Amino acid sequence: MSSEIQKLNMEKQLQAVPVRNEHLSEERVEKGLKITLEPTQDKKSKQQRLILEGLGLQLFEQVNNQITVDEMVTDFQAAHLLSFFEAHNLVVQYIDSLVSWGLIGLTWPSADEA
Amino acid sequence: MEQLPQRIDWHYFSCRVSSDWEVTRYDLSNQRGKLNFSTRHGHAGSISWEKTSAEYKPESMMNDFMAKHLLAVKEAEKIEEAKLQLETFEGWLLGSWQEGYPLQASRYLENEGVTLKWTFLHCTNTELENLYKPVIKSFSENNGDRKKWCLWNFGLSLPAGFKPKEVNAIPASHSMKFTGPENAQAAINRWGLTSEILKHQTLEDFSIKQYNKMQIHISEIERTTFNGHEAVKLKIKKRGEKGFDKLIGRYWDGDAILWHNKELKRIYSLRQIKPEKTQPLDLEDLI
Repeated sequence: MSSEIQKLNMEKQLQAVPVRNEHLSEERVEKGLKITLEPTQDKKSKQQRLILEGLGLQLFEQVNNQITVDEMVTDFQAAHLLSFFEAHNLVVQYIDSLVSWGLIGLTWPSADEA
Repeated sequence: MEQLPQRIDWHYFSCRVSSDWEVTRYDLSNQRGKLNFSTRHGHAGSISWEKTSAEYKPESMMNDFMAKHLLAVKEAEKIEEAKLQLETFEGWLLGSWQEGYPLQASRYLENEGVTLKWTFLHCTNTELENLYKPVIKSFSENNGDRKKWCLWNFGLSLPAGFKPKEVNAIPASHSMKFTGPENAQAAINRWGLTSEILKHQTLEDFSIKQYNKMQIHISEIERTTFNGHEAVKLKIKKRGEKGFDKLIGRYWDGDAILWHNKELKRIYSLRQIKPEKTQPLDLEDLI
């Protein structure tokens, strides 16, 4: 899965709601969070493991299927005293990585919900 | 009126803008250039500078701009009726048309032979009074023996002979490099995400890594404090850069100071590298 978030305009990026992949298991380890991605029904798919740490882990832990990218950017900006564009660029880059690793997907609230 | 929080100093001007305005385009040339400001909602404004003659007529420049703008927003049919209303404000000539259309403000700097121009793409009466006039009013000339250089809330002041050579703005890592007489160099860096940077390394380790990346040799490093912040002072060397001397030139000496502002969660560094006979700058005096 590859993320399209970097190609979207800023407004659309900020409205996105990251959602966790349901087919993964998490285990706390000394370095951070060990994540195991279960294979999908696709025969070519294999089990994958990776360890999240640092800022990537902080952002992943915020993903609760409700928080928007906009809220994540605001939190990140406040936590690290960055400018809006600094925080926005970094959060979008991290989200892009999380999507490409298959840990999260992105949804957009429908017009009725927004 | 409350002072706007963010300082901007570049070539010929100093001004203050809102804290959420970020520079998203910059030019290094002193002949002609522009700073664009954006917020999360889009373009906030821009200020441009251009070497012009005293006879330069800003009205025609403003009318041309308005015509181009109407073409860009696909309202070409309004070009004929778009007659600018002009007013003077704090030494600036303001040109506007109707609410919702651009406001331009122009000023000629006699001593520099430079025309400055602010452009705000969308202007209502409320925006003019509350947002744009305070920005325009905050202008002062950036001249004298020392010039200030400040973008993104960080900068320095340098003797007038120094000019910007390279500016890099990537998230959490900004730098501005200047060259002065005999190619002497002065530079300022700023890094963010300090909790991550200093999680597994000291300020000394970080400074060594950063300067190695810049192909700067460190001959001495010493822990110190700078304006109350934890800091390291360094004696450095780099090959002089003059023409092709980058590869074979002799080493120039320099010094640097790198400090951690815990309150702002930023690490800053100032450095200079200069030919032997050039007068050194007092780094602590540049901030």
